[in-house]
Amino acid sequence: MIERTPWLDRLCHAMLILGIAAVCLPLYYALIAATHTLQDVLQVPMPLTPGGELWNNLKTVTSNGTLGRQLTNSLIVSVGVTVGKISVSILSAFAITYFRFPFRMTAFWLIFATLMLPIEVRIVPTFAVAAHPLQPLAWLLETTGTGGAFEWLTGWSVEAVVKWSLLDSYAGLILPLTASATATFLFRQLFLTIPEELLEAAKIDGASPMRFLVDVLWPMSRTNVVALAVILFVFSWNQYLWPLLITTDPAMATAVIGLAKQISGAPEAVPKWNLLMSSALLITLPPVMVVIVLQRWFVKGLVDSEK
Amino acid sequence: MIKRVNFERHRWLAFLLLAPQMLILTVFVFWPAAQALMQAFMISDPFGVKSTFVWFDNFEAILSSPEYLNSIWRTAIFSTGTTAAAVLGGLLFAVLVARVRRGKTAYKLLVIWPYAVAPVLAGILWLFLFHPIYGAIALMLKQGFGIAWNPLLNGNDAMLLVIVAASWKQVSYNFVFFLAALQGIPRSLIEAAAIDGAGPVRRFVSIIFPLISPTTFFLLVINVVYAFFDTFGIIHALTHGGPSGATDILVYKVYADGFLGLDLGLSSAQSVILMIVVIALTVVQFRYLERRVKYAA
Amino acid sequence: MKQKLLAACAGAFAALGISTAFAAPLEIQFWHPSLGPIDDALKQQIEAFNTSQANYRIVASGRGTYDETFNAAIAGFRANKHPQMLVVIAQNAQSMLLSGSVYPVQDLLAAEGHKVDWSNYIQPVLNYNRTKEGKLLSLPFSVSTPILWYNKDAFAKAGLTRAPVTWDEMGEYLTKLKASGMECGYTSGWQQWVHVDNYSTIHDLPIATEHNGLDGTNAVFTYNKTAVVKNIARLGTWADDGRYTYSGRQGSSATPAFTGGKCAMMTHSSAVFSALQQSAKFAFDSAPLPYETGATPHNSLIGGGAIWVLKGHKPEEYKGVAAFLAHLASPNQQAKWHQDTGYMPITKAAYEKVKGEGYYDKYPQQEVAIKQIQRGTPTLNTMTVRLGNSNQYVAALEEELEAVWSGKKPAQQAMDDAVRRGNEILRRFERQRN
Repeated sequence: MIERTPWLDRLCHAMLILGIAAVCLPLYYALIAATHTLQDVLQVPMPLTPGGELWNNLKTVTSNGTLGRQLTNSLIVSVGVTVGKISVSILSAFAITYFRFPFRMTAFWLIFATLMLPIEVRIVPTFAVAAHPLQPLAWLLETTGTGGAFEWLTGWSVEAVVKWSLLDSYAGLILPLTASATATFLFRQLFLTIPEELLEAAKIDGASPMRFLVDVLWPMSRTNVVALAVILFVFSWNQYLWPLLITTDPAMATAVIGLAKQISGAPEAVPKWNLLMSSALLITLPPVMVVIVLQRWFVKGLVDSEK
Repeated sequence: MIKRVNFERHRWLAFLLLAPQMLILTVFVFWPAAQALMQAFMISDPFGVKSTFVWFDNFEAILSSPEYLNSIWRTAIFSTGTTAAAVLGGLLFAVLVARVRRGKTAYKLLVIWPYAVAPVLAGILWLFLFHPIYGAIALMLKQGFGIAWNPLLNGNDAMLLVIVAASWKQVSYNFVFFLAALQGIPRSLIEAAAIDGAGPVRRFVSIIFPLISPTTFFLLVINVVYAFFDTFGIIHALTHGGPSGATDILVYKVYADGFLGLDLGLSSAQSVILMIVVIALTVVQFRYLERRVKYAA
Repeated sequence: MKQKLLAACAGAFAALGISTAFAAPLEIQFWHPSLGPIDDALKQQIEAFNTSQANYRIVASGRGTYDETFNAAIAGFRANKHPQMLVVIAQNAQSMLLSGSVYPVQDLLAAEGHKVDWSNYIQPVLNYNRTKEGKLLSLPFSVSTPILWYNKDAFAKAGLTRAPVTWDEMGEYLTKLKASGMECGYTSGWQQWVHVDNYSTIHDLPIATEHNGLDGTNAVFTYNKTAVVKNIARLGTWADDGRYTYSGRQGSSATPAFTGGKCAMMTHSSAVFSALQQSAKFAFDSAPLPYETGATPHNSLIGGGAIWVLKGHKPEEYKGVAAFLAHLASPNQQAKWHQDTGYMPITKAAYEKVKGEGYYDKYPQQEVAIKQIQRGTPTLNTMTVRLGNSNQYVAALEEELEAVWSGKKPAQQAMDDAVRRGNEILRRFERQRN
């Protein structure tokens, strides 16, 4: 106990409640819209309390199966990106902080530079690459005249190689998103705070680098990995621009894309806010659940690390 | 920075560990970025039938247009506003939550959840509330308080709306990091200061804030990058850059010219300018901020 | 060993879900925007074709907005994975035409032996997508034109019994409606389409030189020198005194302003009919777009999507495409499409059929657009707008219009600025295609 200032405590609570009311406002209205009929939602002013249509609205939006399929896609993509991103960045952060090798700083700055090359900036060429990732290989085979040898060796025709594409595939949705400066940055910061003595001790014990990573660094980073995984899962679930382009087939689209397309796609129609908000709630539920359920774990991890 | 003690004899392993990241970066980041750079010096039709090398024509066209200069100005307002609102909001919530004893978990949950909402959905939610024609809050403002709220025609209203929507999501993100940092501060340190007679404000300014400055620094970088790049979904859902270009931030212009306007050259030239801006911004932040940042460890 | 390795690789690829881009023979891809409630009507049309014969299967897929669909097709085209058929919004006709990827519909149908009597089509609908020589490039699909929608209940309350015919009359109506307690008199969807494009064609005014770009890519905008400026200035006055309420770009927020009972009048696409039917709780009707006092009104312009056939596919697939297009243009399908969706029929036969069945006696609102589009004799000003980079110049124009509605710029200055910016955009289009 530091000091007793009841007025300050009360002020804190008041400010928190006020702030949270403002933060939760959009959700509350989404909920209202999702629990009414379209006619009620379009009333001016809109009702201020929830109605009884939520079940019917949810039934309507889930009836044709597309939403279910898109939610599954979102799940696959989110888990894929999360696992991929964490593995890739933990490995490179390890390499950068614990090894001395030529071009170490170059590697660091290259990774850092991707912070300045977000996908929005290079979207058209990235799409071209993803549509035809093996184009350079095919070009190489053609110019060197080794196409025949390649076909004999692999059993694939050069034409098939050229046409091989990441469009409308899970690999296409996942791979380009697995590189991450932010995550590498975070692990690097974390590793830098780990006492040097640990490595000295491990070296005295004759532990190999991989052993050190698995036995020492991994346990120490676990809470951070969980925290990061929450963030990455949500980040991947909510991706917008890339899935919008790399999937052209609605059956491969993620749930966010599916909903966004419904809202923007019909200029002549009155948006069915009740159904759209029902879908929005369903689509937002998984990442919110992840954040809420893992939050306790996350907090526990933080408290533990303080001891 | 590298560990004083390190594995100096495992070079090959280091390369192996870096390989997955580097492979993905090369194929999906650097190679496409190089092509974007090339496109900035060309005028090409969207179907990829014809491309002409035009030197700096695209840059000239961009930099001489009053609309682009307006866009730079609007971006400055937008990213300053969003970063400030999101970082301060996150810090305030974190300080309050760290301080209260009752209802901590509930408060935390209620602050964190917006983080889980997709930016484009966030835009749609806010639009639903603040649209001057059918938005519930907009109508309340007008009928209840006589405030003529109209982001469709009033540029300042529109700017306020996109800043609120963009920072709303980021507040939760910053909150998570600030709270973690605050809870990482040893209680003994604060107790010692309290015993010395330092009040809550004094303790925050002289002890807590310096200790969380690495987090603040990290968050500033992340938030500026967010405001610059990740917000086009919000702009797209809320204002389309309007009215009359009032919220036409640089990244939305890149998107609009590239994807709606299908002018690859013009859009790429803007991308390159944007890259230079962010590189400069990052360098400045590193140079001037890192010196003042007191690392806890 | 090699076999095993290959099988393992194939398994790994399959697990990753990597597609290998081998399409089943004679499946024909048809990409279209997701048009909301009318997607079901489209499904039925396609189902009818797929079950009527065994050689071809049309695979339709909705790709988001018109812009997203167009982008997906361009990306597909660059990756050599484009569909045989693509729905493109009217204003992008020039971009399509000069892409070098188009197989003109009229050529296709002729080559595949379909004898089409083009004179049996509603000409102003076809004109938008014709070359200077009169060859049809694409088949109009989701066709509409802007008309005036009005709230009959609100009119009755203000003592009004019919729709205004001229813009001047409309101004008087709006004053009365406001006096009767209406919060907003008038709003509009697609402001640029209604107040620049269609205002020009109805009054036989050019939007740009070279017959609105039909004769060449060197066209220059000229609407800042026509009565369009007067029209915009008048609307600016109305925006100022509250008779006109701006409800945003494109079409989606004007409709709720009207159906919510807020605005008494709305100019919008004729295709909003089904949306209005679903959500308006009052009696409403439609009328032709108003025109200037003393003018003889000409035809309005169409908007919406047309089906373009893309090059680079197998000859036997084009046979299927031709058969499908013929199916879509048949009177029965056209009549059904028109009634299901609110889009316009494209043949006179379909129009006569629907009329004969008494549909317009029940829904007179649906005939207004068809009559308006056939009004007067088409001139070279009223045929089409064939200008490139349309998304960009429309966006620039909308920004300038917003500056007028908010009182930031006088109409003349805003239109001058819009023309200056538009011309820069047209010159870039020319350079892109040089």
